[in-house]
Amino acid sequence: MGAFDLLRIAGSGLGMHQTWLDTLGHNLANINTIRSTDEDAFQAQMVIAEADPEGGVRVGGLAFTDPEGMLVHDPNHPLADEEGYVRAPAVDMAGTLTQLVMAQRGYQASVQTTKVAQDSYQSAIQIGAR
Amino acid sequence: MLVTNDAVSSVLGAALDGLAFRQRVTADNIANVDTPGFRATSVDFESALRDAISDPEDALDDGLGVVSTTTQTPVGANGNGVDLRKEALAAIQSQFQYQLLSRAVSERADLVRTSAGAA
Amino acid sequence: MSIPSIEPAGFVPFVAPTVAPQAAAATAPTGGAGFGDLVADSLDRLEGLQDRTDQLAVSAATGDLDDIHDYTIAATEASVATQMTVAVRNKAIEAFTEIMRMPIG
Repeated sequence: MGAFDLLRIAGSGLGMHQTWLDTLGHNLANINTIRSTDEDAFQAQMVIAEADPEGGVRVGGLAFTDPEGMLVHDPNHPLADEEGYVRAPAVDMAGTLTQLVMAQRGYQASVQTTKVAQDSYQSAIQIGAR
Repeated sequence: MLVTNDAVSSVLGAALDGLAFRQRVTADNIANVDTPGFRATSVDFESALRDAISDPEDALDDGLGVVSTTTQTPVGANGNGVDLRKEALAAIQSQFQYQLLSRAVSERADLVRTSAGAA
Repeated sequence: MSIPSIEPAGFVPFVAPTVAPQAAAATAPTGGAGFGDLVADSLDRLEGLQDRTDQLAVSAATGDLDDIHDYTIAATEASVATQMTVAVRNKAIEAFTEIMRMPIG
């Protein structure tokens, strides 16, 4: 419905940022997920945000980081190969935490938009009311 | 009641009925947000109302069909298909639509009242 | 220290809009049909306002309304215009009864 587009658009922003927050949480939770060198490393998920032609935003897809990961020398690790290497995920903790704050701010901004939308609708309904 | 028994009043009444039903369904969905295996339901009365307006004869035969369908949202770990954000926003939108249509009904009654000479 | 004039900042003095003189001439009743035409014309316009409000209310019911204020503004216009028309009608009836009570001779 056209009259409630602002609310719908704010909802799409909430949805996209929720997905982004979910993936960032997933990436951070797996920051220490170590694998053996004959396996792929944990691949961090990256949300691809896409503008909706109808207005708003949507998740266009997910991209994944390099399955190569980082080779870490840790001979005492139970998964270490003969040369003492394990495969750690290529996740940058500082960068992910920065994105976490950005996603949180985006989510808060969308919540604020829903509040503004409700205030606007309330005012519009009150026009000329006795 | 003859003065308010016209087509526009019928449409407004039907829409208010539809919205009230949607509000109940949304409340049901939100109440079952943690119920394992529960699937959310959505309500469509607008299509039926639009058809009834464009073809009143046909609508009289069939009656106004309010369609409620089980939504195909992704299912969580416990088989629950309720999208809480979507339901909360639907509840807000229904509330404003209900207010707007109630206002429309009041405005129409006020016009009659004013024309009848009341203050 | 010098204080610059505020004129270069883009200040445009207010110019009152001018009303076309023929508008006043057109509404001035020339014959006995003037008031009747005025009433019929305003009733037509009132009906138009009420129809428009009804159309917007129906589009709100079917979820096709583009903006909430489109309806509320139209409804307010229709409401105020109806009150205005009723007030004019009451004044006209008042004037008529006044004339009827007028002693002749």
